[in-house]
Amino acid sequence: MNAISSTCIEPMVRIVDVWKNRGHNRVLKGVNLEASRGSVLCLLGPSGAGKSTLLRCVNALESCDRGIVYVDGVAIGCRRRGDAFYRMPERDICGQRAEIGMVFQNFNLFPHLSVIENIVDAPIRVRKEPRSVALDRGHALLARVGLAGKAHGYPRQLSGGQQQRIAIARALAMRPKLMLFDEPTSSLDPHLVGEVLEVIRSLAETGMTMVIVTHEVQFAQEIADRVAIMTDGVIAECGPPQTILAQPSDPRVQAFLARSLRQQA
Amino acid sequence: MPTRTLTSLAERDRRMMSAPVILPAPRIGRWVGIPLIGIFAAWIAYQVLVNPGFQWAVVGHYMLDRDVLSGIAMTLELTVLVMAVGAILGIMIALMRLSGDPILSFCAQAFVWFFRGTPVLVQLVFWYNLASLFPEISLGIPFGGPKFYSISSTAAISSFTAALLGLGLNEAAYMAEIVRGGLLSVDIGQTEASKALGHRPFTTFRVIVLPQAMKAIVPPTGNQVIGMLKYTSIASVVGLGELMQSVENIYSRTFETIPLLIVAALWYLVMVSILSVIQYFIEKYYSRGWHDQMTVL
Repeated sequence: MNAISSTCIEPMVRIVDVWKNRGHNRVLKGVNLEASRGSVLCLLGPSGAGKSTLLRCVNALESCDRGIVYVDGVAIGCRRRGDAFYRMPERDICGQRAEIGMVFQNFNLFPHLSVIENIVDAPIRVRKEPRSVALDRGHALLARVGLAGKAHGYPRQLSGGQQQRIAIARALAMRPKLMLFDEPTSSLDPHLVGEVLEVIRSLAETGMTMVIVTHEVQFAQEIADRVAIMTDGVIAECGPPQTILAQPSDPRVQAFLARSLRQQA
Repeated sequence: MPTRTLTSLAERDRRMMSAPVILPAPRIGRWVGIPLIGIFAAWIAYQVLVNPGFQWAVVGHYMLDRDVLSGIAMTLELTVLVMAVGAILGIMIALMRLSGDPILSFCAQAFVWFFRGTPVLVQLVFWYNLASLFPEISLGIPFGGPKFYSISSTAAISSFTAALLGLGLNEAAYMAEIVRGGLLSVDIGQTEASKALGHRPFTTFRVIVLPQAMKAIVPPTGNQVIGMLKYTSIASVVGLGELMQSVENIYSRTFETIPLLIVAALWYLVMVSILSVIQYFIEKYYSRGWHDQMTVL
């Protein structure tokens, strides 16, 4: 996207040799991945490949058994002392998480707070912004996602597409350096998917670094600077969408793409 | 235009009148049940009004008796304090249990096991007789070290403190399980979203999880409060002057057992009714956002 974000500058996200087990199951097997500043990285792949788990390791909602994740040069969830890395206590990790925005598949809006309260709660409590400033920004963000009139409603009264757009506004209210999207449109009715993808597209145009786990191969093709396809806990292919999606070399990737493109047709 | 709609309405009514009618099923049970219940209720009302054993005049005399009213004040005071101790301690223990730390979790589970497992009566009498185990309560280094503060047990433990400790710790064990159940009922996505926004763990608990857990915590807690109101009567075994004790003192003198028990029962009923109304309003407060609200568009 941006010619200036070359390989000499530290990438925004650097995932180095990450392994994760769940019981006897190896979910992530030595994943290496990078996302440069201002770019959009889409993670595609079949269910159970470990895409969501990898995404959640980036903001330490999951902990890696081995390997380190760096965001903006800072190791996430652990502290380096000499040669060894020690896991950070929960209360220190939250400071790191404040810089990373996350949008969930199930929206996870707070049902007991109104829409505008959902959005300004974190900036006021975590960033200690004054309430009037936070409210102004909150209303501006709501207008940006096209829901200016819904500030005093409650999440339960809104459609899935509206709730997801508010979830995006809520994440943006914290002015994050990086936005993570965990299958943002998978819970939505097909006719509501478009409005959310539109918001994500306009966000990408502002130069926000984004990592999106998605099933929408078509959307990934349009919006991504790079696409990484995960199968079975490893990155099978990684590169610009034109090359990867048009001529995949890995047979597993070919099978996956054939299936998903057939489904979307 | 209007005449056409009028004829179409009339037409529709005519068509409806000619369609087959479905009558409600005959309910034999109701024809038998209602008279039976009516007769039973009438018999109860008759007994209540006519049976001399109730001695309604005596009931009326003692309803606003000074000793009875001071007993009620003591009952209310004990209930409020016991529930406060139980709720605060219960929340702490529930948090210890859910903290993920194995030591805290073990201590919490041990507390709940012991204080739910032993009868309240035993605990009450134990606290009252603490002096036989520990003649002196002191704060200091154990196993023979220096003492910073000490007080004699008989002076420290009155019947009120014994009741407060015995009932309070027992209540804390039950409240811990109620709170834990409520916290577990909140969708884990809420905690994740809160963490992802950068909230500290205690803020996540206080602002996001606990308010949502209240929907599941308030009804069983209301149960506990109402139960505790009547359970305070057990404190009469350690000589505390609550309602049952006051009533027992009177009828052990005058032998008017039934009317005085009715006085106690009526007063408990009044207090429980007031608490039920309060519970209704608390539940309404905590279900904001879950029923249709007026939107300002």
